[in-house]
Amino acid sequence: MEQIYKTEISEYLEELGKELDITQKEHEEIVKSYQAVGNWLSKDDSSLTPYNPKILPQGSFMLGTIVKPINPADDIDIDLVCKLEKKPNAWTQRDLKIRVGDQLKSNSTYDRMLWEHKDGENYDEGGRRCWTLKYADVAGYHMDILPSFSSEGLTYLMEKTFSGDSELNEHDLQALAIRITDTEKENYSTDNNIENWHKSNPFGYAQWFLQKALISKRRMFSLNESIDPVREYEKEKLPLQRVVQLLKRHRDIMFSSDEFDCENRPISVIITTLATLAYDRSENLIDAYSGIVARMRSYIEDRFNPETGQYEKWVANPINKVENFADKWIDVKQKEEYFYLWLDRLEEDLEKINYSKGRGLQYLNESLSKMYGKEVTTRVFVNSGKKKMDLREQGHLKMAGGIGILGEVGTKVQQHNFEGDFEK
Amino acid sequence: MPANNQLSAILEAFPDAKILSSKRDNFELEIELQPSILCEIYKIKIVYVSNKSVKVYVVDKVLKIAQNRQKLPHVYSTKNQQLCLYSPSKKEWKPTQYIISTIIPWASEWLYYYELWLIDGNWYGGGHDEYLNEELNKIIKDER
Repeated sequence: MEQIYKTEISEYLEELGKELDITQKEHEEIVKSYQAVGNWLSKDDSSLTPYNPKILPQGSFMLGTIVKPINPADDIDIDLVCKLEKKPNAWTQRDLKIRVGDQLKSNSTYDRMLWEHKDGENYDEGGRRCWTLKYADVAGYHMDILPSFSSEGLTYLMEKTFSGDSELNEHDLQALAIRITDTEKENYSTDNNIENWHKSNPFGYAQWFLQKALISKRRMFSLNESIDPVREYEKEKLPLQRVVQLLKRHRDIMFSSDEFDCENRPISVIITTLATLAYDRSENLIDAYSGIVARMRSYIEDRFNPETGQYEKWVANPINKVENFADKWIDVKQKEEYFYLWLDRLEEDLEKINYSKGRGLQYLNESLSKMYGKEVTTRVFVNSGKKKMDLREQGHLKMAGGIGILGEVGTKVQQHNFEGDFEK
Repeated sequence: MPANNQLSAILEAFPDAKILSSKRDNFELEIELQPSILCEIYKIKIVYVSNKSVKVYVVDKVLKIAQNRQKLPHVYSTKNQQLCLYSPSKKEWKPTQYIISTIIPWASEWLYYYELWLIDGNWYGGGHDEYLNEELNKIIKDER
């Protein structure tokens, strides 16, 4: 592919990514909301204050890979960790869960928000792992709050800086793990030893992701940049973050069709993990995207399970190799089938993008609309048209000789007005 | 401006231009335009008469019409595919101006905005409002 073509197509994909992302205003609104939750949980007379509770973002909000729902009426999910540093010995998982819930309920606004999620279905005990606050009327998002314990060293590790080149230290990664509650665990209301609680490592995962996402191996970063509760909105995203957004949206659109059971569509953590493994630090969005789509499937492993005597599909958690993100594929074959169908479709669709040279903007618009949704796609094209018009009005638009490409080189395009409509 | 001066300026930037006829005070030629690498390539014919007029036509294909429209935007004639690139009443173009630095870039722009127009039937390239009556009708209808 020629460079000029790559640059052009990458610009469209970049703008598309921006359209799929939350806006700066939404971002700031969300940050403000969860900071308020954090303040409520840690205020002087909060029953949790002795355990130093903190609210930290996790999941796609932390990774910078959030995409808006296809249907504007649907909520954006924001995943948060409510992290306590110490706990009374006697506390079980249930104690932690209920204490966090009670503190939330002592605020009349949060109490109402807990009710408003699923009509109060989870009001008493919360969901399986989280409490969910529904920010309904004004905002259109909900927040999943995951009660957890972690060691005091976590904060220190988050401030420690890493470079894209440094090896992830296994010890540090493990120290980033948190212990969470799970109502479906047998020991949910009996076991007070956190060593027996479910271990989760969203911050270790984030560190792995960000390290792989950096274009320059030399750049230093600390995890704090992305999980800092007052984190800044990123106008510019890394290519891997954009690709993950595009992939997730592609999945959303494909599986919104009636021919599929939406329940079994590919899950985000598998998409994000495979994309990250397949990323080769390409700076150009179309190169990053093409490379990832071409290589993704080769990172799905076949592992022999001696207990069943069968081979199983594995997408290992990169920071906990014994955890299989694709474990549900074993029981629900359709999940696996769908994943491969989705990979096939991605490859077909990428072909269409790669063969759109000289076929007309309307052709590219139609292809991208089918993949990512008509409304967002058309907005990207309209905006690029308006941008060209602004450039001309400012006297910056030029036309090159040869074939008349409009851009930054050649003869200046003078101001003028299209007329017409002389037909009767 | 003498036809010769116009012609040699065009040929300098578009060496592949095909000259159909060239006389002392007029010429006809065809060039190919592609406003962006993603756009189609269009053949346009330019007809120039010294100190009088310039006309531009898209000649190698029948231009499609956007789904929600009946005719092409900003043309003198949908049938002849003659583009209307500037405001004659505002004298935005005079025969003393070089075609290569006015008419041709404007034609490239026209083709770019035409492809965007095919997407949703709206013209984003500025100029007079093609669909003013339609908007007025809508406002009147909404107010009823």
